[in-house]
Amino acid sequence: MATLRRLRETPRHLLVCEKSNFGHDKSRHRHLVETHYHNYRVSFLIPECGILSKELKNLVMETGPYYFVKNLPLHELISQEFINTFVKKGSCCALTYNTNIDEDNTVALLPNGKLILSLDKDTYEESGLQGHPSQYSGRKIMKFSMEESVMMSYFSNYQIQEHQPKVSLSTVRDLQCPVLQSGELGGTPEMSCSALELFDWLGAIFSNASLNNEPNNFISTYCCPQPSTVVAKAYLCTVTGFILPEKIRLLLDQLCHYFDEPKLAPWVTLSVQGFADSPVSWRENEHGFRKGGEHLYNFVIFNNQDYWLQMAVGANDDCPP
Amino acid sequence: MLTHGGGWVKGTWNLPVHFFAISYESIHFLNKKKTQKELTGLVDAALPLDVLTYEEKTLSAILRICSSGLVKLWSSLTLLGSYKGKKCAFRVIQVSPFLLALSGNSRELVLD
Repeated sequence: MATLRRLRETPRHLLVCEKSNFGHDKSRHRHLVETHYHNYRVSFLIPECGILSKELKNLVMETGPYYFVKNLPLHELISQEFINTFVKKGSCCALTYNTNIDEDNTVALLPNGKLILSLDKDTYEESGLQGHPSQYSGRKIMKFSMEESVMMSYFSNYQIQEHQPKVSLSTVRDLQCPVLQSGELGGTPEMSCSALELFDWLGAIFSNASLNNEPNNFISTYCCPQPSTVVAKAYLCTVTGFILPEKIRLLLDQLCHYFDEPKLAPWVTLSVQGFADSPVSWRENEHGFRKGGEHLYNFVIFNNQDYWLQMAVGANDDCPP
Repeated sequence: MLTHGGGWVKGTWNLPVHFFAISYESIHFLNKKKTQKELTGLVDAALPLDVLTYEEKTLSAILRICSSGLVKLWSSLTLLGSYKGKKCAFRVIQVSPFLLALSGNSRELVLD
């Protein structure tokens, strides 16, 4: 009966929303970006923008490369040479490729030099290592993200491929955008939308949902939250691959500077999605995959340097920091 | 808990809706009313369902359902084997209460 009850339940998820200002001493934005290590997808949306600035475009095009190494024995990652060449210099991230965190053994290397092994029971017992049980229930193929191209020569004995993240740029015309007030996270009736409404709306935009909700539309009742305004054009950019936190921090900094000159846009957004099969979400918080392996965050950057930050995690995750 | 910037909103159990990304074979379009009847197996459809996106090229869609209907919808999709006499199968790719999470799927990253 308990099993049946559990199967019928909707798994719990968490969405944490906070607001602050980039100029505030205690603002956590930098720390939260830099401790979210395994990033799969970064997107930003700029209303009232038809062309991307040179600085932003350069940053977008320079989010890579990342490296794919086949049949890499795990002991290579703990060799002194590897540690001296890459780990001690920082900014080295790695994650096993094509391993499902809820089914397979998974390994992740964090920029702070920690190696996280998420092992099934048999492998754990064979390894003889001391660990702790997962909170939520090889010769490996690894993908790496690194600053330097010395990666190619270091792993020349293995099959290594260099990959560039995929970039997708587009302009949307006549887009209905929610009206937001930076001081009102929960929204105000008739005046501004809430952070939750904005979060869902962003998802609809990046999923290419049409939000017409015309009277004869029986297919979907979902529409842009109200109040809203129509912007003549908006710029959407998505980068997918294995993206370092440092690159995302540079993007965030550049988007903050977007409002150094007067702009029509009242706000811009930056959304980041983590790898569903990473063993950690933020810092060393355990991440799992129950019905979905989501761990993502979104910044709404206002023209007065206020920001909203939304952090969302799934059922097999610790609360975001 | 208050951050230095002010209050925060925290969502816990029962965020009101869930989003499904699904793909299906040999069916060209889902008629909403029919879908409700087929999916729930009841004469009078009981679960309001939104089809947010539909892509004919990939035969994939994103659905929205209230969280209390999540299990019913998921099991109905899994068990639905034919439509208008034609065999079909639904594959649930992603499920999340966060629509933004459905805009990308890291398990689809192909490097080989």
